Amino acid sequence: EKRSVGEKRSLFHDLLSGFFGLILPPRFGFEDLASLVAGATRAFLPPPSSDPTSRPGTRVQEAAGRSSSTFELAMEEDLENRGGACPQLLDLIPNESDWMMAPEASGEGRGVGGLDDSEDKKLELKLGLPGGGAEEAAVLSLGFFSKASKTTTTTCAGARRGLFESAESKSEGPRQEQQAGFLQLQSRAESGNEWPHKAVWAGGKADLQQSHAAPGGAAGPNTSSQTRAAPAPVVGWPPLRSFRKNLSNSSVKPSVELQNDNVEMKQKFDNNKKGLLVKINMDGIPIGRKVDLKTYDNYEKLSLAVKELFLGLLAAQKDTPENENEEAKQAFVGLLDGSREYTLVYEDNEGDKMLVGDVPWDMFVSTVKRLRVLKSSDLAALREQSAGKEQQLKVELNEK
Amino acid sequence: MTYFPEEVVEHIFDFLGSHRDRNAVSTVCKAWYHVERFSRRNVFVGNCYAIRPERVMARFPGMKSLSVKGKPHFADYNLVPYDWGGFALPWINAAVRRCPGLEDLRLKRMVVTDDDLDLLARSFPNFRSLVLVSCEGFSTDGLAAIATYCRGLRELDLQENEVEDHGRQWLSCFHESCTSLVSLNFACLKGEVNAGVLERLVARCPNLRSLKLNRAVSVESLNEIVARAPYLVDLGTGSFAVDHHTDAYQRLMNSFSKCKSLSSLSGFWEASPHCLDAVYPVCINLTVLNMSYAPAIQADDLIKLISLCFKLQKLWVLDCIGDKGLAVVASTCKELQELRVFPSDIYGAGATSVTEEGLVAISSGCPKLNSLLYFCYQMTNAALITVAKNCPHFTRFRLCILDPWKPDPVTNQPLDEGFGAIVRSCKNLRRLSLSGLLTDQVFLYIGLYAKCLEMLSIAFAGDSDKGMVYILKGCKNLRKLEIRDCPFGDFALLNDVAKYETMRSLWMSSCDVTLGGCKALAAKMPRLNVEIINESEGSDKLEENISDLHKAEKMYVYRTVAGPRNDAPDFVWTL
Repeated sequence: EKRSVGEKRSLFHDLLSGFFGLILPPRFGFEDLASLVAGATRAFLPPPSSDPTSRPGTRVQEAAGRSSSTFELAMEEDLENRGGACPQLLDLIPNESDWMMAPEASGEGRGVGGLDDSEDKKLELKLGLPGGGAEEAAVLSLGFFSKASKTTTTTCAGARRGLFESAESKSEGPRQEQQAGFLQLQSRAESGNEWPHKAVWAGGKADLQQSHAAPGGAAGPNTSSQTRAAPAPVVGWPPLRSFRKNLSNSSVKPSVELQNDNVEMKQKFDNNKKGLLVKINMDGIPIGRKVDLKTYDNYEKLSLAVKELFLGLLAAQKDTPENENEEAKQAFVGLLDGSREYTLVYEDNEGDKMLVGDVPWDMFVSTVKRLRVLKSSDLAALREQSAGKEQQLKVELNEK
Repeated sequence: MTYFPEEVVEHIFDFLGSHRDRNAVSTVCKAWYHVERFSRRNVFVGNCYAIRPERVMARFPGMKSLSVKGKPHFADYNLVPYDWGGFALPWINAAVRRCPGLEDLRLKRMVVTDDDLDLLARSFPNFRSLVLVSCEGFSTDGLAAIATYCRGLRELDLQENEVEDHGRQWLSCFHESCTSLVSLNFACLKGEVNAGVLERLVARCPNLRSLKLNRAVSVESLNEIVARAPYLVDLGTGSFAVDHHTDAYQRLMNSFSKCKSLSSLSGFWEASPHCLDAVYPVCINLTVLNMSYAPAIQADDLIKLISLCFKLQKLWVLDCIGDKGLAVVASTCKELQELRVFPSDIYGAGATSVTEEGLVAISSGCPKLNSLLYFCYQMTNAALITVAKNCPHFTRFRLCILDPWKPDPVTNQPLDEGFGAIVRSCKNLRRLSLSGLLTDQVFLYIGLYAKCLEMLSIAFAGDSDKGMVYILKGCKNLRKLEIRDCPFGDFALLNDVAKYETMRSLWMSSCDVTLGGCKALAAKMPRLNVEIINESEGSDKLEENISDLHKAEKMYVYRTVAGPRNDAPDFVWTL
């Protein structure tokens, strides 16, 4: 039968006090329980070990005992424990291919049954793996094994020699290390690495001081021409998403820097950029205009531009001062909708009359030949006209 | 524990939110394993190739929310070829068959096609939330399917995806009866949407709290939207191209002053100086501000804006804010927890940018800072040591000095000591990215001190194999290690092969590992997939005369229980 929450809680208190040997405060709730459980499982899970008889308690103690050893000793032990063998956990999966098939074959029961032979091993480990999910548990909780391992505090690296004999020399001789490092840089330069700094740094520190002459406290970055003259592009460097690299190129910033970082190149680029001038006429206005479509990158902007082009002319037609003419302004609302007084249409490279706004902007720019601001009432007539054309085309095709 | 009543155990497990805690309790004993697996609702798969989708669904039949990650992180920087993999379809298919009650799906760095989205939209009647981060392969047609068939959709969040533009009708596909949207983010879309449709959608969704518009949405539209949705908490403004002399601008300012709940702002794609005044009324409530898409906004405007943002917790800016601007941040934003400073002009001379001074100012002014991404042209050891002393709470520390191998400009030393101070001081550091001139010494420090470190990104650093060995030996909690252009070779790779099964993945590119070394690794560790990405032309067969001494240009190793993957393209060799 269902127990009340209060009953469950007191039951919990008893069990947990017994299991973990804890004295729990009276108001200890389920949430506290949950974090305690989580923390406890994390602390008590055994680290990977080739000794199946070791119990979690002893391991924790061993870990504590080792806390004063140095990093190098700890590394040695790790090497022994790992020693190329997989952690004990994964060995519990007897036959991987069988395991893969099990769930699809007949559901959970088979999976559980298939690992019964590893139950013994699990018991030896005290907190062993359950049956059905050894695989995923292994994958998902391997991280815990590393976490639960020894908490070694480390003394200064130079204190003891361990696996790596240079540890001591490291603390005493950073200069040597550096020079070794620089020499290595030099050899990399020789191997043809294209990063320009290589040439600057070959030969050691003296050169470095010359080339990186950034006085302390200088506000700006190190702008020595040697270090940042038109860097050869390294793939994936700096580690920035692509859209961020092009941000300043496509903004309204007055000084647009281009990829080539060179004023002359920029000018050349501008001259090469061809404008796309198309004629635009408006119903009722005898004089047409021309508009450069390359200066816009979406329909909204085009719509606003159309308004600017014709507002004055329309107002002049109606014989009222330009700025006050709300009526004229209203004419340009909803150009792209087809819902208001005027509609923007265009003629494409196939000679068809199209409504502006249906296709992506780039596609529009590549096919448009001329624009027209049409009275929406004329749209119907236009449709009939094109419908007639369509009919004709259909008839022609059927006759073939 | 077998006499423990199951419903009590399950009730306790309800309080365990984190995946790791749940994974841990599921390994305690069989009974707990079973209780846990039937009660798990949120499933997280960190590597889509580590396990087959069917296995996941079989283990967690009650799954309501699934999160899967695909490509390695360096794919963000174009280091992974386009069709490497990470397909969403197997996951969606498996969920269709086994977990039709799926409500939430989050995919990161995966390939999602329009057909996948269509299948998704039609197959899950309770579907509520779709979050796609850094994905590609779909167009606005896929979004149209989602809008059409996911009745009751609450969240559509598209973050930094590559989406092909097939027109603006997808937004119209949200049915007139759809009023359930809580969060809509289409900031990454390049194409236009129909303004009227957008405004009507916003108006009929009373629970809408997060709305991020794309660059093509005009200020006029923004005005309509903000006027109709004054309860917005999180707003991405769209283009924000407005002349502050116009009526439109006045109307905008009025609208913003009515937004009492607004606490997060981003967008400003085409904002120009002086037009940020409209936003001042909401500054005092802002906790999140992202100005990193607005290169035209210079330091003075940023300073004026930020000096009103006392409650700011998260700030993303471009480096044109300068050290001066960062000093203002430091004196104003005492609650700041996360700061990201992006470079505004990587091809230029970096005339306006930030230096170590700005970072030191931030560290001394913002004691709660725990997450940093900082692009700069120079850094000193002294500055890093000071930062480490001021801010011991860093969990994420990513410093990118834009010139590789750049030493401390004042002392000409490598930055080993600076980063060493960071790892020594920040005991909870989980993520670290290094840059500048670095020797093996820094890796010794990291191995010694960075015990909580889970993700480490290294580029152009180190002198020898020892560096990598220090890391693998010392960082007990390491999950992801990604290395490029470092002198680490087969010795380091093979030194401790079992370590890689305790990690999610290892990436090494332009290092010194050879084909032979990778083969040896693959031979010793059958439960790792060792993949070589070979981009040189003309060679698509592993067997064809490629010597084992040949360097493996790009290697990706990850633990898996699914065996070698069957969707690898020709240029990916699984050893």
